[in-house]
Amino acid sequence: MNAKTHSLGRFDITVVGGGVMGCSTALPLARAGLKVAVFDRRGLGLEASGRNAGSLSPMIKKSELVAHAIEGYQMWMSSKDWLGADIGAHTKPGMIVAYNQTEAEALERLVTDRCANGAKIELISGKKAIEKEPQLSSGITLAAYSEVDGHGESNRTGQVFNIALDQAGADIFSHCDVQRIEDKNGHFEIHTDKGIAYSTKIVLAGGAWLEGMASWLGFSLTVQYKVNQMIVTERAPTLVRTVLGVQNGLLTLKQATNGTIVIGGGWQGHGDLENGAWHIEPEAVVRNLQLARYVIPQIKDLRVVRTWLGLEAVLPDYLPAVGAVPDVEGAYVIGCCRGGWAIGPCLGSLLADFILDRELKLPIFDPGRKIDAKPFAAAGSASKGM
Amino acid sequence: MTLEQDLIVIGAGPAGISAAITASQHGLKVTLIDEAPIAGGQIYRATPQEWTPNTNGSPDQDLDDGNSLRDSLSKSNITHLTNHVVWAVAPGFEVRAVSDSKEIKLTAKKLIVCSGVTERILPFPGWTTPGVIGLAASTNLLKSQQILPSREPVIAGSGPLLYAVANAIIEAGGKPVAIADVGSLFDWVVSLPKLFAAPALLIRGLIWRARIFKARITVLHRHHVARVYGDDKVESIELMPIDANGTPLPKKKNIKIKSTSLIVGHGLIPSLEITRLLKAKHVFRAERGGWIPELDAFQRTSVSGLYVAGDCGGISGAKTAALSGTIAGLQASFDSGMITEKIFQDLYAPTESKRNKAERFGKRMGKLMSIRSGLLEGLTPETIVCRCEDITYGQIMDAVNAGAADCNEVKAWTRGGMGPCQGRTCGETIAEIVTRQVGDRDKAGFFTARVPLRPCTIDALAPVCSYDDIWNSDVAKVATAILPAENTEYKNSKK
Amino acid sequence: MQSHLPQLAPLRRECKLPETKTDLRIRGKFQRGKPVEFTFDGITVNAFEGESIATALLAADIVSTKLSVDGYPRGPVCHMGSCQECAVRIGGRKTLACKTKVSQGLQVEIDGLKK
Repeated sequence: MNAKTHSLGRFDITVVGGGVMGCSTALPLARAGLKVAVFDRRGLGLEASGRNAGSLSPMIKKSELVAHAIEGYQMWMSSKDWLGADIGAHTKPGMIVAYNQTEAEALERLVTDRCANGAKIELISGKKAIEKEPQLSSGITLAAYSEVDGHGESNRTGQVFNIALDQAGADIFSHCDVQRIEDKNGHFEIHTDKGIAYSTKIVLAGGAWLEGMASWLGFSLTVQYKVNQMIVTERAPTLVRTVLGVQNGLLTLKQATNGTIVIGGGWQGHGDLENGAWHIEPEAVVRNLQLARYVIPQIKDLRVVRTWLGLEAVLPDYLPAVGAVPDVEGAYVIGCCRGGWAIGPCLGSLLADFILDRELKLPIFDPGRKIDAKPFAAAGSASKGM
Repeated sequence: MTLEQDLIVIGAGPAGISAAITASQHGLKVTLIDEAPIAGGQIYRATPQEWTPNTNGSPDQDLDDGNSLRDSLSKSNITHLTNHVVWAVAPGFEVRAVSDSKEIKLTAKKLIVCSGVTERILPFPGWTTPGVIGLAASTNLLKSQQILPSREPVIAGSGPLLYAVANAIIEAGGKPVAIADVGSLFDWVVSLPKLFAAPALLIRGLIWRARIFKARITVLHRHHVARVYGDDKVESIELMPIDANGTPLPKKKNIKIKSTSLIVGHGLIPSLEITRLLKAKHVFRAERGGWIPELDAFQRTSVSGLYVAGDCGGISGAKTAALSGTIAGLQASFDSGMITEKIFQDLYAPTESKRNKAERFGKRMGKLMSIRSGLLEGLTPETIVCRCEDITYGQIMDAVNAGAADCNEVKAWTRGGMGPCQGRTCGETIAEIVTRQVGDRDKAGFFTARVPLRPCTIDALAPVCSYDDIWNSDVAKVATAILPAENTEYKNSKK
Repeated sequence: MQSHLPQLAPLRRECKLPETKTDLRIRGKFQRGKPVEFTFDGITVNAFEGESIATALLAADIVSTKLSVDGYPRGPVCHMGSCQECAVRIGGRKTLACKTKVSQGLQVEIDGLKK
């Protein structure tokens, strides 16, 4: 079998990248009767989609994404209905705490802004916050509280989509590495390490790898990524009842249904897309845990079982790319937003509607828009010399 | 606290001690770090400090060998950190460890990993019943805790440990009810020529067999455990005949034996968490214990400055371990510019020839312990594979049948391997199950190594500190530098 | 899976310092440390300084030492800090019985979330 000539088949639409964005786009398309193929270098949902902390928190999303985040939250909550499988999502109140006046003022502005965009959040005193979450340490100046929050078992993303896509009749090419795509004016040739697929339309959904994928089609997209660290403890009796965050953004903490406590907050590991070599920064684990025990002192007795890294891809304006590739007929991109796992199902179904020429319930985000914001230094290089 | 060293050696077994002593003799500033209170590793594990040997006790070769190693260690300039659990290793190299709730950081240009082995125990129905323990666990109990795992156990599995444990139990006054050896007598006979490479060890093995024969203990070759009965304690054990690959032979008769204890093990597996974390190249060699780091003749890995010695570089026994440790120590000294090429060659050549000879014996022993995939044919859908998360064989098979095509995918889908043992117990089994589906172990892969290397309390890893201290740390600055502006006001206000 | 949870009655067994032939401790080679008493789930267990909790429990014929996540009884397997099956609770913390030495008055509790 020669990978250079072997045909993998002809498709109406091919999705490159089997994360939550690609899979949620592919599923409605396959159900609409199109012949759909999904390619992933590894298995479905194993990168950021399976490695994020599973928070659904609409209140920490950007203003422009609040409505999408609420829709994403509702979709994950009802995953059994539309996906055919339960992702284990549960509603839990969300809470963001502030420990000093500066943080409190920033929190107030955040809540005002998010509420103006449709979120239901109330500001509560430190005392009230401790009533809602008795394990919180004292010293809280102000807290934001929302009933619309929760979390799901993001590690099972690949599993649920694998089954759903299979049932919808899509072809899944996992462990199949797409190396380049050629635009043949009217159709695309997808060259992989296992052979060539032919497709009328194409959706690029490569997360942190999206910039490279876009360049196959001559489209220049500035994708940046963070190397986010996650920490999980062993199972414990119920200790934390909310999806917790600190205003400064450096802590997210919640207790999963199985009792483990998942701790995140955007602390950075090392590595880069060119060379791989991903590794945890031990000091970042220590500091992340110090902040966690500062907020919930009782967790000190728990044992940490695992830490891992996941790439969070963003565009410089922190808004996603969802829509058509400029000047390339039949090509689309989707991806790159903070909290992408939570919002993914919403964005995917919007892009599917867009491709199927259906009416859009919410706005999408033109990948060809002019972005003024400056890119941040990549996490990998920002941490060099430490 | 940061300790700067020329060389860090992780693991104070025969390999680690030899490596540290050699490098220290050549002038390197060395720290040897181990989680045990006394050096020696699993093979030379010492009895507790609180105990005193009786002068009239019977002689013990391993104890003497261990004591002489410990003696040379105490006479050296090596910083020996006992009771330190290494929880993270980062490139460059940084080693982080915890002890008595205190966390320390060590740095060095060179790192020698001598992390030894863990025991492979493949599941069978009932293997989670309390009273089923490992062969290596039993050696540990007999040697360093001076206690019988049981007076009348059934002993099952593969490799020389079966007979070592049976022998030690007889010596201590117990009497195993039966020994079920996965291997055949023929496996042992064909090994004999290679085993002559280490006559002393061969003779010891023959004495064990003679003693077991004299005690009239039933030895069943080509047999394995079909099922263990009992709820909260082992009540009886059913043994079944198997073929050379370990697959059950259903036409032949099973034997049910009453005993409250089953001691079982299927060989040793190199402990590779550290070399995996550091992204060294690994190759699969079933006869060396499975996955091993790719090593050259000087114990160097594919990562510059990283060396591996002892059984974690491939199963070969204590004697090879010590010699490979010496070579690693020598090479690290040379690579650090402490000895000339001439001195290196003069010292390396004789050690290498001794090591190669010892390895012939060790490799043969390793082969007797290599995995036989047919042993998994006896599993039922209800058999638990991942003990930490109670994930069954049926659940793993469901994932594999639905398309999970490598170990990490099975882990993500089922949670198998996500519990506190971090996949050490079920990793081999899940890899074998996936391999049956995808063809080979290379495709099946292995669980990605994760920090912390052992579960550690948050209290030990992260001592209490002030809110500002957390914010002022370098790593916090890295994290906040790439947050959207609305999150960084606290940072900005501090300027 | 939780409908047929086994009973844990054997844990509630009285245990005395064994001096008989059935004691699993090997005598002769070493002088053990001082005798100590600790409790496991409220039961008094006799042991000698230097012994691990797992060893002392084995000598006292207590083999079922924890409940798995689905509530099944489990006991020590590897005796070298790898398998985590000997996890017990001491002072509210999960601790490995095979890696922790006994001491006078130590209060050890069974680990596991009862469902």
